[in-house]
Amino acid sequence: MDVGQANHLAKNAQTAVLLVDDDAISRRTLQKFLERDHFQVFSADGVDSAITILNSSERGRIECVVTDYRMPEKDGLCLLAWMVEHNPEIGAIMVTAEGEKQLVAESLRQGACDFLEKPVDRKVLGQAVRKAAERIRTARARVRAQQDMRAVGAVQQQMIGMAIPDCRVKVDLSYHPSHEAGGDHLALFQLGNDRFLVLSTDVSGHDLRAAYLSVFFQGFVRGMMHAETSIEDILVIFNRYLVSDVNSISKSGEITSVAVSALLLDLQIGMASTLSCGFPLPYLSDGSGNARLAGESGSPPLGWFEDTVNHPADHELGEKSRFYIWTDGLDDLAQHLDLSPLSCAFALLRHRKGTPPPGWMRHAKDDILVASVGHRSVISAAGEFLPLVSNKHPGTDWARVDALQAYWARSLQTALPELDESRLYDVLLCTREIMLNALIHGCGKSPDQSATVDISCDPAGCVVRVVIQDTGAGHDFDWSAHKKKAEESLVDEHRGLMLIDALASRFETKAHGTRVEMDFVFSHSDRALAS
Amino acid sequence: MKHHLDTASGTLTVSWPGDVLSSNVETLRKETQEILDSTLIRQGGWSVLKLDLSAAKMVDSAGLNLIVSLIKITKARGSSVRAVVGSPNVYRTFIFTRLDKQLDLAQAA
Repeated sequence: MDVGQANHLAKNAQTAVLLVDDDAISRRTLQKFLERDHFQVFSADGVDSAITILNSSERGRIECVVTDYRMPEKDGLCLLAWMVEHNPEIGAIMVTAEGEKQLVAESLRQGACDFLEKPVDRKVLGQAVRKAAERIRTARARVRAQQDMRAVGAVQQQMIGMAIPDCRVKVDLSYHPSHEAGGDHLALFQLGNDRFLVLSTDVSGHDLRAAYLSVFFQGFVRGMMHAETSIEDILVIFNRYLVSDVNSISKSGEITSVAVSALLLDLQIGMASTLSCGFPLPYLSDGSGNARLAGESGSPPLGWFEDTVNHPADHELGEKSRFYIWTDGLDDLAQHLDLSPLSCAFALLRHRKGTPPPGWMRHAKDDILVASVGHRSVISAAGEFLPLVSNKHPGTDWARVDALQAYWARSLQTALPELDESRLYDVLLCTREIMLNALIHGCGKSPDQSATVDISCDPAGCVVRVVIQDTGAGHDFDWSAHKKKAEESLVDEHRGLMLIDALASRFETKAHGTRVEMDFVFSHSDRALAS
Repeated sequence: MKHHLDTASGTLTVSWPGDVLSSNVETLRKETQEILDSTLIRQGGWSVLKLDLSAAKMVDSAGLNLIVSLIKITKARGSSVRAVVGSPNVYRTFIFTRLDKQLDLAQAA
């Protein structure tokens, strides 16, 4: 006996086969064939007794059923139909008389099945059983792996929630995994009475390896924090570990990377610092309708290159400051839908747990984790404006105003689906008017000048706020006189002023007209929906 | 852009195909002017210019200014303007900007 045969026989010994045939002689012959090849054999003289065995404690062991097709009362097809319904992962081999194979194959609409024609050859039978057993082992391993992934994913979701202690910093979190398990995580560390660290991570990949590395990284950070190591140093050390120890020995050449966003808050001195390694830069909202990217650039994810961790960017904290942090899955989704990621973040953070996610989430290709981080005392207070859109446009974008308007419309409809269609019209028309004014007159259509548009919402007060600011010199003129002139005579200008004055609930210009603020109060019916 | 002259009622109808915005207002102005300047229309003896805006879902200030200039041209030749709008939002826009005082405003059926 050669090594190959010995291996086959060793594998065969682990394979349990159920043999079903009403003909005792035929059954005994096939049983001898299989036992000579060291398979474990159970036998049944009909479909009912086969089902009894498959329902018994042997069920989990049997990997293959070899059944005769033609049997009295119930034929082999009846057994296959039962197996498809109750135990589809068991392999099946149908033994048919000469000429019956085609007939049986056509009547089988589902279920994997091999055929053997009588007279059955011992070698061919052994090969067919081995093949079927291999198939079921692969399928069972896949099911087990999926169950493991689901279990890991459930633990991950629990850990994300558990990693946020009740303290002076409030973290609102929304996590939408599109895979069973992955490497997204967010944790809040209290470093002192007034100092906090919010650490978000996104490990490359969506498998157990990514989940393991994510937890490993969180534990690593926690341990180093106890040793009072700064977050910058921790990231530098972990980057070296990935580059030198993990990725240098990767046999497949696959690079393992960890994207990290670190947000340090010092509530006593009212300062924050942000550090992003391969993570989208967070947005910082001042709570009154202005939001900006917190920082200018990040560094590559940990694990790519040696010593690439940048210095943190510092930010002053106002009373209503709030950071918005999300994984790149949200940026990808917003880009795909051509709308503001802030509006998606707003909608996801409003989404109630246990209810179906918004319909547009079906386009998400990656796990999405989004969080807002602010001072607990001001969270959800009326008068706080949460950002929906925050974009900067060069003066040349006046020619793209239709596209900009469509983008604002999609963003507002995503964030505030309850906003009445006519109120949406008011916001869009007035924003268009002011933005055109800023780009054409404020920026002089120049690529070197720019205008920013911030659209935000105070959900408690049911107000949408639009703030448009340009980098031009501005000029002072009497808005009310212009408006009056347009109202009273047929001048073909200034009609935008009349529109805005009529449609906006509040309209104010500042800094020589370079900054315009407009508020739009929702209607009563919208108010009811929003609450 | 479509137009139709009803000699019996003396109404020249000009139908704009959609929104009237800063991005297309110059095209609309040019095409409308070409209609008004065409020999057939000039000789047609119309007394009412009917602007059919039933396809417009938005009219911005540049669009309103175009309508104002057409009101001026029409009034200068002793005729009047009627605007038919489909969207309630566009209708509101005409009211808020007092254009309903300068032309005959109607909502499309």
